[in-house]
Formats: sequence, C-alpha cells, structure tokens
Amino acid sequence: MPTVQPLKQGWGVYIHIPFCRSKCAYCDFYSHGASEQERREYAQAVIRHIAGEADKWDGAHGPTTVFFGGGTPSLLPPESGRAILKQIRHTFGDHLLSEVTIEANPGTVTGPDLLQWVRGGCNRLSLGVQAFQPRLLAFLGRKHSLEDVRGAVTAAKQAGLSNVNLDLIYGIPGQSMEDWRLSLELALDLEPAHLSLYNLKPEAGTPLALWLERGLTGVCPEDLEVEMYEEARRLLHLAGFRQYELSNFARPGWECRHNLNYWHRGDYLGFGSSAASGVGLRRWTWAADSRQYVRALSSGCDVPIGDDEMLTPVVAAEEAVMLGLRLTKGVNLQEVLRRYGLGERQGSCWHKLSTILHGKGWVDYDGSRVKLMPESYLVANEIMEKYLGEESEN
Amino acid sequence: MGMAQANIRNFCIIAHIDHGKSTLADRILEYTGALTAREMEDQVLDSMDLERERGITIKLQAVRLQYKAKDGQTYTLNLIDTPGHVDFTYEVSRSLAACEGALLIVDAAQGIEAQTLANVYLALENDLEIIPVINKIDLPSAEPERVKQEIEDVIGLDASDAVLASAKSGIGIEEVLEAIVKKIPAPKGEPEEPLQCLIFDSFYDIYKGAISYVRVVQGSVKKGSKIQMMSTGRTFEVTEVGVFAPAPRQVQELSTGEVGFIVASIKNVKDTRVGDTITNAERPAAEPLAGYRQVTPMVYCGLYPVEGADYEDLRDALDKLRLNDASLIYEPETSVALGFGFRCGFLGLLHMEIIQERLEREFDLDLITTAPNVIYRVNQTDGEVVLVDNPTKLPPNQKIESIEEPYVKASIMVPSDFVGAVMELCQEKRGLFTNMDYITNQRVMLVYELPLAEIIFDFFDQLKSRTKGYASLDYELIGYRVSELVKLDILLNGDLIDAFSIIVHRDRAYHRGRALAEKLRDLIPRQMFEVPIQAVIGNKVIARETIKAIRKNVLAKCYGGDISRKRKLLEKQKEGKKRMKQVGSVEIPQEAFMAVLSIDQ
Repeated sequence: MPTVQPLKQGWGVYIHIPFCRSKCAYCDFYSHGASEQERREYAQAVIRHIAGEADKWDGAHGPTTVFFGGGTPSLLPPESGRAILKQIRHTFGDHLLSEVTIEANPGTVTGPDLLQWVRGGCNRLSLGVQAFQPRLLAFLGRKHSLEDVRGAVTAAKQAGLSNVNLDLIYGIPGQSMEDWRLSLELALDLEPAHLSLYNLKPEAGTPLALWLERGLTGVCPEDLEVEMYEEARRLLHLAGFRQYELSNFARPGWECRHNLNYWHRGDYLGFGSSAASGVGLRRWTWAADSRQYVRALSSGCDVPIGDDEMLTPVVAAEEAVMLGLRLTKGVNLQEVLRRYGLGERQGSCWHKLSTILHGKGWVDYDGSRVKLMPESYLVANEIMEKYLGEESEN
Repeated sequence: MGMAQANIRNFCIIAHIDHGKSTLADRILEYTGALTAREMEDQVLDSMDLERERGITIKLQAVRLQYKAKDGQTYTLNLIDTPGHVDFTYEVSRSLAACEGALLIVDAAQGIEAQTLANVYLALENDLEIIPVINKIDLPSAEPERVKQEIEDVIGLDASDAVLASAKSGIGIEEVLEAIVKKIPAPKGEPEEPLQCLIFDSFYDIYKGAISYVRVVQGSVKKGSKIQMMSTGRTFEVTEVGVFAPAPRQVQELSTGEVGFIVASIKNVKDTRVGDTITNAERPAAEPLAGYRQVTPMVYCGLYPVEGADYEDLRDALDKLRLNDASLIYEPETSVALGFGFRCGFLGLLHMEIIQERLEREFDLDLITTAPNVIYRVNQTDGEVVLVDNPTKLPPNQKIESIEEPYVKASIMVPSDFVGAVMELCQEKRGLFTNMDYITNQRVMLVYELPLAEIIFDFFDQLKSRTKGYASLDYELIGYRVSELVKLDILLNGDLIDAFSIIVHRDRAYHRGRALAEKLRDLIPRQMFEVPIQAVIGNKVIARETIKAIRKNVLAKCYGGDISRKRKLLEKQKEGKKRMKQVGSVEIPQEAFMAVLSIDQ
C-alpha cells in the first residue's frame, strides 16, 4: 500500500484474540490455547502492527468503535488490552471513539479484570452465554456454569459497564421450546442492553458437523427452530427490545455500532492473526497463524496475508445490498448505486427485481429503500441471492 | 478367382457384452502385427471414449490384417466389428452382410445369451460360416464342455472343434486365426464384372467429406473411377480408396472381396446411404445388391437446452452427430414448459443415453431430457389414423376411437431358478406368455409378447435386478395392438406442465400418477411458497402431493470476517439454481423430467 488511503468516517477497529481455554463444538473461528507469556507477546505484536500501519491510512477522524473479538478476549491480560487501546488512540486518534467492546466467556471474567478494562476505555461487554441448561452447555462444549453467568453480569455492573450483550443459541439438538423460553426469560432477568440470538449452524470442520455426519447427534427440527425464532421475537418485543438485525435485538439506542458499520458496509481495519479488514473495494485477512504473526512483527517483517480480494464496484454494491438487507430498516438502493458509481442499468435491474419481490409480499419497497418483510427474515438468503449477479444476466 | 482374392477372409465377431469380444479383437491385431504390443491401446476397435467407458461397441469399424498361416501362405483378413447391444441389431445385420464368416464368442462360464443367439440366427440367415470360440477358459468357473453342449443343443452347430481360448491370457489366438483361414470361404465374385460395392457404414470427415465403408462384391474401384450411387443415380469421381490397417492407408485399388473405404468429395452424407450399392458410372451393374431394411426409431423423447439461448448450438450438435449416425432422427418442437427443443427418435434406450451423453460431453451442452415414449397409432372417430410421438400431441378424448401401441416379441434367457421371478415381471408389465423352452437343465428360454412401452420404461433394469444380472433379453417388433391407454398429466401449482405428460395403460394410471407425484415431491426443491402437485387424467385428479415452502434459509452471523465467505455461499446457491429450469413460478431440476422412469424402484 504505497499511498495513504482514506478511511470512511464511522470506521471501526477489530482486534482478534485467538486464545481459548477449550474449543467449543460449533466454533469455526481461529483460536487455540496459549500460555500467559504467549498472550503478552501476542499483544505486543498487535501493538507493533497497529503502530506500523499508522502511515498507510488516513484515519484523521479516528475510529468510532473498537471490538475485541475471538477467541476469548477476556483471556488477554487486562493491562495488555489497555496497552492495545492506548496504541489505537495514539495512532489513529480517539475523539470520535464511542464504543469499545470486549467479548468474554462468563467463566473467564473477574471483577478486578473488568475494572481494568473499563479504566482502559472499554464500555461494552458481550457475554457468550448461549444457554442456561447445563446439558445444553455441555453439548456445546461450554465450560461455564450458571453462577458464572450471574457473576459476570454482576461484576460488569459493579465495574460500571451498563452496556452488556448476551449471546444465546437456538436450534441446539435436544433443545426444547421450554428450554428456549426459559433461557430468554433468565437472560432478560439479567437486564442486558442487547441480545444476539444465533441459530446453531454446523460449520464444516467443527466437531458438531462431524457428529452430525456420523449420526452421533440428531438435528433440531426445522419447524421448531422457526417457532423458536418467532417466539423470541415476540418475547423480546414485549420486553421492550427492538429487533434491528436478523439476529440482533437491543433496547432503543443500545444497538451495537461496531456491527452496524459492517452491515452498512463501512470500512474497518482488523489486527491480529486471522483478522479481516475491509476498506473500499478491498478486503483481506492476516494469515491465521498467531506464532507466525508474532514472529513477523517482532522481526520487523511484513505481516503474512491470508486472503486478499479486490472487488469490482458491482460486486461491492451487491454486498452492500446483501448486508443492508440484514437490517430491519433495510437498505437504500439509490444510495448504494451512488456510492459505488453504478449506472442506470444496474438501477433499473434492482428496481425491477424489488418491485417483483414487493408484489410477492417478500420485501417492502418504496422506490429507493428495500427491506425484508418480517415473514422473510428466516428465508433472507433466498431473497439476497436474487440481488447477486443480476447485472451479468441482462 | 485370382490368388489375392482366394486369400481374403472377411469375418465379424458375434458376442454378448462382456464375453470378451474387444479383448479377442485386440489380441488378433497384436498377433498379426497390425499393432505392436507397445503401440497397442487397449481395445483398439472401441475408439470412442464412451464406448470404452461403457465397454460396448456402438459404431462399426473395419480393420485389415495380414496373417501368415501355417500353410505358408499369407492371408488378408478383414475384421468387421459388430455392436453387441440389442439397440443395435440393425447395425449387426449390416456388418454380417459384408462377411463370409463369423466368430461366435461364448463365455466359458456363462454360456449363450439371448442377444448372442439372435445375432447367430441373423448370421445363419446370411449363410455365414460360424466358428465357435469358447473364451475365458482359464477362469476357475469355466465349463467348456457344458458350453459346447449348449451350443450344439441351442443353435444346432457342431461345436466339437470349437476353439478353446482366453483372449485375456492370449491362449488360443493362433488357433482362432487358423480356423478363420481354413473354415471361412474366400469371397466369391468376379473382378471383371461391373462394379458392385455394398456401403455398410459411412463417416463424415470435415476435410474429405462423406467417406463410405464398403465391401466390394464384384468388379473393382480405384482413384479416378467414376462411381454412381445406385439408389440416387448421383455420380462422383473417386479421389481416394484405402483400407484401415488399422490406421487409414491409401491403396491402388479395391478389388472383388476386399473391404475398405472410398472418398469421392461427397458433400452430403445422404449420398452415401448405408445399404446402397456403388457401381461404376461408365459401366454400371445391372442390379443393385440386396440392401438393408430402413431403420425405424423405436423410442422418442424431447431434448431441450437448459438455457434457451443454446437452442442453435443443440441443433448444430444434432446435425453433426447425425452425419455419423443415420439412425438418429429429430425435428424441432416446442413445449410450453421447456421452450424450443427437439423431438428425437432413437433405436432404443441405450442409444438415447449415448446420444444424450455425447451431446453433453462433446458439445458441452446442458440438456433436459423428457421421459422417453414409443410411437402410438391413434384411430380417430373420423377414420383418420394419427401417429403420435409425443404424449402432448394425443388428440382430444372425444376424437379417439382407439389407441394402438407397438408390441415386441421378447426372448429372455435365464437360469431356471429365476423363471418365476421373470414370469412375474412379465405379468406386471402386461406381457402375454408365448413359450417356454428348457435349453439345458439349468437354462430356460422364455418368450413373451410385451408392449414396447413397458420395455423402455424400466423392464431391463428390473429384469437384471430380479435375476441378479443373469437374465439376457432380446426383442423384435411384431406390430401394433389396441390397448386401453390414457394420457396422464401433471399440474404444478395449478399449471399443466406438458413435459411431464405420459401415456399409460388405464389399469396402471392411478399407481403411476401417485408414484410420479411422490417422486416429483422429492425431486423438486422447496420454493418460497407451497407448491401443490396434481396427477390428472382428463379432468379427474388422481393424486395430490405438496412441496412445502422453505421455512428457513438464513445466515445467522455475518460480521467483518464473514462477509466474503457468505457472499460466495449465496453466489453458489444462485449458481445451483441456474441449472434448474424455471417453469412458471417453479424451479425444476433437470432430473425431474426423467422422474417417471424411476418411479417403480
């Protein structure tokens, strides 16, 4: 990257922490075990990496959000986390920074640690709760207990973190509607600001996929999954939550800004092994090998790149539609066309398509903004697909 | 008769599939030095990829070999290949007419099969000298003495000096060649008489035009000769004569008794009609040779491009295939569901599959094939007789006096243990029992009269599975008979899909309708809305199924690191749908149009 590239205002920083105490059955993220020494070295490498990127980007406005994801970011020594945040501020500036999230597993956070994180600037906590039934947690390979969940939420509040998200999973083999309802109710009792509800999907290469393939576990019936989703939407609505994305619900004003930037197809810089970055038409990831990552940065070499792609404006625009349709407010097609400099041909293509889909009652379309009808949320892929590769057919 | 002619032997090989014909042909080529072992590609005669993969021979080929016999003389042997599948009986009769003798290869363990028997009878009708060769004698299960006895009992041939061979191990190859030289007569015919050449095959070469494969029956032909096609009277000047040895090689002249090819700048393959006689234009023969019966397609189906834009490509591809396969016929048709395509006629199901595969493989076309059907003869109330090669063309009910369908005489050879199973199958397929013969203690020949429609439906597969693969089948058309037939239609989402219509026997209509609806329910993927499937006869719905709507197809998570992967996933999903045919509002996969063929399994 020889020239300085501008980052679009609202951009975010993602820090990948690839450490876990143990691997969950359904997880296909890059993570592994590591000693405390390794974790500190990794944090040092991330800091160097951020510092080294300083002159490549025009981040004059500074990032709006920072997100520590993983892996289990709460396994990072809090002072390392603080040091990383300090480097981000130093390199890019912080006068726009408004949301700093750390992901954590309930069993790995303590009050003193959280306090340190908060002092470093962290103001949002995302807890991987997943379920409230020990047998379901055991199936998923989650090591925490119910007490851990309550303890973590209490610790967060004591540390002054009011913006707490809880992740829950539905569609687990053996999970009943009663289990799900109970999980939702217990989660609401903890008074989170935000809830993410994920449908369990067996990703290739995970133990879960292997078990299914070998017939060691059954699947959750599709009809039940659909009912679980609808039930959750109903209960959360009653509890004062607003659904703003296919899997995300928040009390009004507490939506996750970092993730909204993804769905708006904003720019983001990722640091850490396997972290993805997206700026303009380019998207790339750093290689998924943390030892190699640390070695490269400590020896002053270029950080090895995993995937790297340069999208055409059309593909990027299609992505923007695909991502925008995830939001309940939908996506403004005119704006997307303008942003990627696409002409009338693409516009009339999308207009025709949107009008047809509107006629079928699958989307709502007012001539510029298109959004999924709630009945279509669970078949979103069927609709998104139609916006891909449309131009080439005409 | 000159020396050269006296030393010519023209022969073909009759064998059941898998009994080792190609391997024996390879060994003979190797032994006579036509190819060295090193040059040798396995199974040289089966040169098309498809033939090699399926282990069957489709098109005829002719090879000239030189053999120095034990009597010290050198003989010219012409091996004319014959196809070994029931679909291609017609082509067998062509190669037989060009020979004086035939090797009858019988598997030492399996004995004679129905198709072999049919071809031996054809050879006997053509006065061919038959040399029995018992192959695979080195197999542990080989019973050459039993097989010899079977040949004598079943065919009535003297098998006492049958050659015992193993083509695979190279046993008995010289004995086969000696038998050919000693037993098969040299070709008759006078070289000084006016030219008579029988065209037994033709091939289109883009540089040389139509090439005729011929057997010279009398007279001779060389480069520069003016020849005349006796059926059309058209004349051409010969630019090249030659033989396959096995690579094409030009020769000075083709004389009486010889087999080879003639090139004469013939632009149109129709001018080299197989079975026609070539004579000398300046000194024509008084009479043409006895030709072949015109080939009639037995099985019809619709071929449609998945992408409408490929229609012209499909036409070009069919035109090209037709150049080398006169038995393929086609004409344009349109389907409400599938758009523009072709109605194609084939010799049989295998022929149909081969053409379909060649179109997809050699011409890179994505095709939809509709379920095959026979030609029906409809006697209308107004006295007119209509031939129907497509169920959608069946006249309206009130105009139909009666419908006739083609019947065949099917000969099935089977170990006696399976007689019950075969009789049951024939019964189910509306067969009329004609005859049962014990060939030996263990082997039985069953003869049934069956509707051809049942044979092309799934008879062969059923026969094989119910007899553990031991039964063999041969059939010949015996004429048309009135049957109680009705048209069965399929409605998807309330719309009649013409490409799904079939003609079935009234007694079976209910069962087939229900089975087809169920099969379609399983084959058509769920759509965004519920799709009812109805099987209908006239106005009466006889079966109903429902394809449920998709309830869930969503990516739960899509964050910064997921976007590329998720986009590719959706692109792949879309690509998968492109291979389906959009009919009305429903997306239908290609295989659904053939569903009717597999509903009884």
